[in-house]
Order: sequence, then C-alpha cells, then structure tokens
Amino acid sequence: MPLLEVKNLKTYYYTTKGINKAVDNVSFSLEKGEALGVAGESGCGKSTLAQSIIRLVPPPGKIVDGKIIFQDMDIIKMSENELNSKVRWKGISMVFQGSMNSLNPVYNIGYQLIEPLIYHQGMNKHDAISIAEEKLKLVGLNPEIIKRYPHELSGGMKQRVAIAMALMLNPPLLIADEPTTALDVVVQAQIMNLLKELQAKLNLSLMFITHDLSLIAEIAHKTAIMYAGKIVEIGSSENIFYNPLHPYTKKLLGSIPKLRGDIKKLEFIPGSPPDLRTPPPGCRFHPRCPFVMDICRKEEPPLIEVEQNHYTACWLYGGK
Amino acid sequence: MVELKSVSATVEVKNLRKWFPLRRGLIGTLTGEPQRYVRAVDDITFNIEKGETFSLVGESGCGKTTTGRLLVKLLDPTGGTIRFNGRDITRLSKDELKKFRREAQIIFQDPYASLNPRFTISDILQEPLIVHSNSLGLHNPKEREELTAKALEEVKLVPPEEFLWRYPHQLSGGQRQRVAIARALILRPKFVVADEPVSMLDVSIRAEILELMNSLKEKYGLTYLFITHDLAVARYISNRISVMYLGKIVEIGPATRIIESPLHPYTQALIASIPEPDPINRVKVREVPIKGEIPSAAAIPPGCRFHPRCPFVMDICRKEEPPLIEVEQNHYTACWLYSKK
Amino acid sequence: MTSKTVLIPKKRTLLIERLRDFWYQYKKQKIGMVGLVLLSIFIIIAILSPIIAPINPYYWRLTEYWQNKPQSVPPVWAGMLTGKSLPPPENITSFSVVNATWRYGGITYPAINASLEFDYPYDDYPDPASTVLKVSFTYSISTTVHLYSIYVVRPDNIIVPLVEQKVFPQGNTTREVQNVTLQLYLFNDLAINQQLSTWLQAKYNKIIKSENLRALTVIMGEGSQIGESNAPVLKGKYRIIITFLDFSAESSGIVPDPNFKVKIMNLLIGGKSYGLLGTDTLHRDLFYGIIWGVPIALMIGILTSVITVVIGILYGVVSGYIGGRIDEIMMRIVDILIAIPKLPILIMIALVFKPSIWNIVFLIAAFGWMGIARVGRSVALQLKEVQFVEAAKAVGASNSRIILKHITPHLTPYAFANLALGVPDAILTEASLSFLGLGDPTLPTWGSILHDAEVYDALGSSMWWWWIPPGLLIALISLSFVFIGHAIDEILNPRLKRL
Repeated sequence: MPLLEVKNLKTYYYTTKGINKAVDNVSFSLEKGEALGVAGESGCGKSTLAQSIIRLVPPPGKIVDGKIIFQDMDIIKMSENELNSKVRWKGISMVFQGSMNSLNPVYNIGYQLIEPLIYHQGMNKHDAISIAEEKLKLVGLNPEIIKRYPHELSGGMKQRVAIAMALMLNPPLLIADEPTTALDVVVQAQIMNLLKELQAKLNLSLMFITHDLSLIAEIAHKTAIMYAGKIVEIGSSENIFYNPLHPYTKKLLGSIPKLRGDIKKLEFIPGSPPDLRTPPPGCRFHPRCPFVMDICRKEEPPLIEVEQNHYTACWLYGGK
Repeated sequence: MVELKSVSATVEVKNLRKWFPLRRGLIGTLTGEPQRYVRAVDDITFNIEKGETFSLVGESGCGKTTTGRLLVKLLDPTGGTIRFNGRDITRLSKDELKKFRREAQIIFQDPYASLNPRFTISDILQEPLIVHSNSLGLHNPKEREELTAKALEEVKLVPPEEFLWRYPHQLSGGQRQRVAIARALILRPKFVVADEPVSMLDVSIRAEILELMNSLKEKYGLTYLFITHDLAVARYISNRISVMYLGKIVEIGPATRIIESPLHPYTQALIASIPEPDPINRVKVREVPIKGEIPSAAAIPPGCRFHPRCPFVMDICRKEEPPLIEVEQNHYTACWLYSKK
Repeated sequence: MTSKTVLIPKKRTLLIERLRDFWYQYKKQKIGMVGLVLLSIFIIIAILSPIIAPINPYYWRLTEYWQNKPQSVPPVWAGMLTGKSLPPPENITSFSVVNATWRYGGITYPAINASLEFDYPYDDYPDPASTVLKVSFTYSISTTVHLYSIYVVRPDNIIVPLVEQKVFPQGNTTREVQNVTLQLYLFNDLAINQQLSTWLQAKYNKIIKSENLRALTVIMGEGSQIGESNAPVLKGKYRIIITFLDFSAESSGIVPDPNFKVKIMNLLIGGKSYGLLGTDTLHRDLFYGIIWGVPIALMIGILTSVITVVIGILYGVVSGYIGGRIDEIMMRIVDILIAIPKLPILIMIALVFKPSIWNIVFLIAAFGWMGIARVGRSVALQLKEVQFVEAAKAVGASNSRIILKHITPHLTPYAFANLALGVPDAILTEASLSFLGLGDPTLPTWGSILHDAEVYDALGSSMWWWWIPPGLLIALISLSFVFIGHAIDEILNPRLKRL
C-alpha cells in the first residue's frame, strides 16, 4: 500500500482572465521511505501540486477533480477540521519556498517551534520544549538557539529551523518545495546532506520539488518531470537520468552545464511554456518539440509504461 | 542608415577597494564610536583581456556584484585604480562619465526588475539613444526607432514590431532578458558586465541566452565580465575564472584549470558542493570540506579571511593575509599552502 | 519562436486598455459611482452657469443691481413646505380701457374705466410696502377738474373703494397736453386706511381703528373675517379699476377731452417670495450666488489640489532621490511646516494682506503639500534602489530624467487619489476663510454667502433659504470628491504595495 497515492488530480485557478489549468490530470504514488523528486520549470504546476496535497491551494485555485489518498485517508473528501487534526503537520508537513523568511521576527525560535504543540496538541510547555530541542539536534543545530531570534541566524540555520519545525510532529511525509533555492551552494550541499540523513534515520518519505534536476538526482529515488501542468515522464531516477525518453526530459538534461567532463554544447528549448488558460491542443509540448508528429498536434498522449518503472507520455513510444 | 562601431577593451584593476560605512546612529556619532565599514571589496587586483569572457564567481556577499558595479562606475571606489583601455577611470567628471557610459554597459540579473514596467520595449531601448542623442547626433525619432528595431533583431526578437509596443509584463523572462541585452548593446559598448544574467531564467532557456551572448561577443568584439555563483555556467562560458571570498580574490586562472585542479581550499569546497545530475550521488554523502558559515563583511576575520572555515588552516593563516601568487602558468591563488614564508 | 500573447497592440492601445481596466474596477465601487454622478452634476451646472445665471459674478457685490428685488424672502416653492404659498413679485402691465359714464353729484359725466385684472392664487397677502400701482395718463389743461376714483373688485364681487381724488388744473392755458404719472402705494397709505376703516364699519359693522387696520386684509381678506388681521386670503380674479371723470364735459353734449388717455397702468405686486432660492437682506437673488458658487468652488478646489499634489510629489521625490544631507534638510523643513497650524496662520495672513482669490489658492496649497511629499519621498527611496533605476543610471540618464520619467510616474495613481481627496480640504478651507470674512470680497463663494448670512443674522431669524443651500452644497461637493478619492484609493492601493 503506497503511503501517498494521487490519481488524476486536477487543480485549476479561476481567474478573471480565464481558467488556469495549473495541475491537469496528474497521477503518481509514493511509498514509505521513498523520495520523489518533482522537476519542472516555471509555470509547470509543481508548486500547485504540492499545495494541493495538503489542500492549501490559495484562491482562486480549487481542486477540481481526482483523488489523493494518504494512509488510507481521502484527503479531498475530508473536512477542514479533520484535515487539520489528522493530516496537516502530523501526517504531511511542508517546507515552503523561502521558508527562512516565513519565521516570525518577533518571536524566538523556541516559541515558534512549540506553539503548534501547545495549542494544537495540548501538550505542556516542558514536554514541548524537550521535543523542540530534540528536533533542533536532529537538524544539526545547537539546541540553545531556542532562545535566539530569527534575525540572529544565518540563512542556512533558518532553513534548518524550518525543517525542524516541519518535523515536530514526526510526520511520515515531508514535502519540500525549493528548499535550497535562496541558499548559497555550500549551504545547499549541507542542507541536502541533512535531508539525506533524515531520510535514512527516520525512514522519512520525501517529496522534493525543484527546477534543479541535479538536486533531484542527489536525493530522489523516483523522479517525475512536469511540463505545463502534466507529468510527461516518471520513473526511477536511474531510468530518467540515464535513459530519458521524453524529448522535453532529454532537452532539460542536456541544458544543464556540467562541471566535469568535456564541455559539450548546451541544449536549449526555443520558445516558452504555454499559457495554461489556453493550452495548445494535443500534446502540450508539441509547439516546442523537435520530433513533433501530426498526431501530437491533435491528441494528448497517455502516460504509458515503456519499461519497468519508467513511464512517459509521448507518441514516439506508442500508446495508441 | 545609422551605424555605430565598437572595438574591444582591456580592463586593469589594481588594489580596488569599496568600503560602505555602517550607520552609527545619533548616540554612536555623539560618543565618538569609531566608524565601522562593510568591506565589500577589499583590495583586489586583476586584468581583463581584450575580447575575453572573464568570470567572477563566488557566493552571496563575496563582493562580486559590487565589483561589477564599480567597473561600470555605478559606484565610486573607496581606494585603488581602474584603468580602461589605458585610461584611468577611477575618478571621472560628469562629462567624462557620460562618455564612458557609451563604452561600458551592464546587464542585470533580474529580468523582471531591470525593465521599467511602465515603459514600452521601444521606450526602454530608446532611452540610451535619447540620453546620448547629442553625442550620437541622433535627433530624429525615426532614426532611433530604426535602431531599436535593429537591436531587437540582433537579439532574435523578431519581428520587432511584435515586441516594440509591448510592456515588459507581456514578455516571458527569457524575452525580457534579451531586451536587457539589446539595451546594453545598443550603444555599441566595448565592455559589458553581465551580472548573473541567466540565474533567474529557466534552465532550458539559459543556454539560448548564453549562446546569444557569445555570438554577439564574436560579432562585435566585446569583452565580458561575467558574474555568477554557478561554477558550471562559468566553466561553460568563460576563458578565465576568478573566485572571490569576502571581498578578496582567492584564485584566478583559466576556466578549465580552475575546475580540474582548484588550488584554493575555498574553490575546492565550492566545487565539491555542486550537485550533479547523476543518481549515483544519491547513495553518497556529498563531502563538503568547509566548516561553519560565511562571517559578516563588517566583522572580517584577521589574517586569511577564510581561515575559520578552512580544513587546512595553519598558524600563519590566522595572523597574516596571504598574497596572490602565480602557482602555475596564468593560475594564481592567495593561500599560505602555496606561498613560502 | 512563439510569443506570449496573440494580439499585436499598436503604440498607445495599451494605455487605453489600462484605463478601461481601471474603469471596469471603478464601476464596481458604488461609492465611487455616487461620487462621480454628483461631481458630474456639479460640472454640468458649472458649465451651464453662464446660461443659467447669465450675469457677471462680480455683480454680486453691486447692491444697486439688486434693489428692485424683494428683501429677505424665501424661494417661491417654499410654500410647498409650509403649506402656505407665498406670492412672488409680479408686474402686471396689461390693462383695458373702456369708455363709460359716471354719475357724480347728480350729473352724468363721460368717464374712462381703466381696468387691470390679475389672478391671485396664493395663501398669503402681497407685501404692502412694495406693492405699487403706477398710472400714467394725459389730459388737456383746461379750467375744469378731473376726478379719478380707484376701487377693487374682489373675486366675490364685493367692491372695495380705495381712493377718490380730484386733479386740479394747472395754469389756465387751454389744450396743452398734460402728462400725469401717479405712483400709488395703495396698501401702505394712511388715508386709504382711514377710508377703509370707515367703509368697513359702514358695510360690515366692524370697528377697527385705522391705525390697527391692515389694508390688505380688507381688500383681500376672506368673507366673514374681512378686515381682521388673521383673515385668510380670498383667492381668485381681482380687478383694480380706475375711473377717470372728465368734468369738462357732461353727457349733456359737450365734447369730452380728446387728449384724455390712459397710457400706462402698471401694478407691481410686492412679492413675499422670489426665485428658486429666495433673496437675502441685500435684495440679492441667492440663486445666482449659489450657481456661481459651483464653478468657483470647483476651480478653487481643483486648482489648489493640483498645485498641492504637484509641489508635494516633486518635493518629496527629489528629496528622497537625492538623499543624504539635502534630504535631511528638506524633510526637517517639511516637519516644521507640518507643525504649523494651518488655519490660524491663514487667518492672520488674510487679515493683514486681504488676499485675492488667487492668493488664497496659493496660500492653501502652501499648507497642504507636506503629507504628499513624505509619501513621494518614501516611494523615491524604494525606487532609487530598484534595478530599472540602476539600469537607467548605467545607461547614463541624468538625475532629472530618472526622477521625471522613472520614479514620478509610479506615483500617478497615488497622485490622482490625493488630487480627489485634496479638493474637499481646499474648498472647506476657503469656505472657512470666507465665512470669517477673510476671503476674496469680490466673488460670490458659498463661504461668503454664509458669512453674509451670519452677519445679517439669518441664522437667528430662520432665513433657512440663505444658509442651508450653501452649507449643503459645500458638504455635497466635498462628499463627491471624497467618494471619488476613496474609490480610486481602493483600486490603486494594492498596486501601491506591489511596487
């Protein structure tokens, strides 16, 4: 039984200028202890996907269709109260983009860590503080900093605090949306190491969302490539990185400058992602695809299994 | 038909310093508290050869952005000299500065913030032409429009009419950055500072912009100072790379040498930290041979600035600053591991 | 290469699109629409004012011009509020002349009946002091005497005699035409009162002393209460008839005076109401004052507000952009000016220098720009670090170009909101000054009308039509701008944050 199963999820934004189909029929599953990397560029819908899983999509966005099953619970059908008491932070927690800036500057670290425990779980202060100290040690910080204020910490330390906060209630699944984007490369490496460590130590399931494919390779067992609101390729990381199938995936991998090895000419994809209010018919990538065929312009390719644990949605690999 | 010419440039920087005074407040001023400074750029020396792409690499707060601003005279140096094509441009009069601006330009990092949202693309591109209309002899708006259309063609935003009358928010990030490039090049400068020009763009379009910048460099014989935090991009695009840490240059050398055999421990740490798109790294822990975090630029450690974090720190590192010396041909570093004392 | 949008807009159509977008959002605000409707009404009135009130506004101070109007009377429609309709002044000039005969002293003489008819539907009597009957007739100078008799035929056909008067010949020349003009204040005359008192006693057996008698209650009082002070007015057709007797001829055959002609018969009924807004103590038609007040208020308000906003924004942006010591000094000046109490200083200046309306505009503006300057400065402080300003500097743009083209345009939405919101302040300040008698004495501003009302004690004597309209209009015009400013603010405020 997978820990998280998402089936045909559709999340749309109802704006004054049209319906933005940010997540359009996305399906995947995540096992216990597995790390899934969701890669994609701006506007592909990965952040909306993350928000949909814990139903924190900001208006005018709405989950329109699909199923999200977490630990046998139907997330979409649950009431807000149930979601708050059973799922959010207890079952699934999230480290957002720029988390370090979401720390409240007027409260000290300790207070911010224990607040949900006291008000949400009804714990007493003493117990809550010892849990906070334990989590801080877990993320490699000196437990003394519970007395410090956010402005006294560096960016990397704040990000660790954000991770500690997410782990306060020992959730089995952690969603991290671009957790290292604003950090320097050295700190980024340290945070990635931390996440790997936590994964191993706590058997933590991780959903890692980023535009940087290299980071996904470093941590994820499974990789999903998103484009224009859809998953265009998904499979084990080895499959995706060593044998990419979808033309978009290939181009994406080819556009990463390598630090070592021969300097190859970098790939790029001309044009830009489509406006999701009026996506192109058929395969959404077809206007930019070097291998576009007639059918690509008319019909959307289904996600099919091309080899074991390797799926892609592309007419080049059949599906008819 | 109006034509503007350009010829390449050399830039010589010697002991360049930029210190920003920290505000002391009323009490501090009254009690005679000593003025403290943020030493953003602290005594750097390097040259940029004619026609090369010279990268300045480092993490945030190392001073690379400030250096870039100093070289296009958006900031005035606190100390040191800058020579441009043999001319001393450290201090310039208003008129000289205006003339200099035709020779050196800058492309900014944020394609969303560097274009005035209330200007059309035409306004944005015409601005340099209007500002310099006297010295260019360009008073005819028709001529200016012609030049802006050509500028758009050069950055492959065609047909120009489709873009000239749009506002920035109607263009994608990549298109905006092209406009920024067109704006920087419309006066035919010889020297262009590119401050993280692709770091805010999607990965799949970065290469396109980098290719464009390269082809324009060939076409017009430009010299680039390329500022980035991404060593991989620096390797791809530059001839030489220099690594900055806390206001100082710690290593300069040919791009390939820096990556293949980095000398300075900081460079080595940077290279070790960079993730690679190979799933085999998942099962390894990435060794990052560096301790702690970057100190504040207002409280710089004595001796070698890197010493509190260096895995190879020695006694001398804590006391004296190492000089920048040539270790192998054209490859310099400032580290006591390589200097004799 | 695909581009983002499908349309290819021409140069300025995007500005139009932005305006249309703004208008779409504005329409959604009910308050803004109310304000806009109100303002449109005011603007239409202002534009049409030369047609509606076609006299030069400077005439407001020319008291001679207004003399012939009634004094301190309410508007003609005031009767609808009190239930008692008041007569407006009326000038009746048409009359008919009939040849007749008249028996006098046993002899039948030829006579002329000049009869003037008017319809009186009002609930209250005319103003006795200003009701005048003007008659002009000619006759040949001879040795005979003429006699004229004036009486009123009431709607109930009772005839009330007023005057019997002999006209004696002047000199002894024959057949010279003499022109006589009579101006009779029929209802303010002691002799007539005497006459009426006598008549009343004779006919109705009512004894009312002539000093206590009000002539009009006899002439126009209704039925049984005729002559009594609280008698209701008899409505209907009245006829005033003057019968002219020519003693130079008798029906016995002598030819009557051929030069005996009535030229003019003119009844001026004194009004107790006037016009659409009544009159003040100086006989001025308040309608003109109020109407002229509209364009004047608009002009003062908008001009002052524009000057305030322009000064404020330029000062603030320049100060913020330049920064450093100059910024400090400029802001300290602002601090000092903000601390100065506006109204007392304006009062003092106005007392000493007695400014014209233009000076007042500049003075009010001089005290209103500081708050805007502060905001302009904070916007400039934010924007001077923004990358597109840096880019402009890198290209070589001068400071003035950056301030005018890059920074200030970001303040236009804020400027417009403040423009609208600043108008009521300017109007009220000017009204306050005028009310205290310190405004421009030559122009009819609403504040000056209120000032006059106060001076002539209109508030005390409940001349509501004098002080309610100007006060109400000041409030309404201010309200309309406040609503508009509020609506603009609502739309543009989130954008201000999105800088």
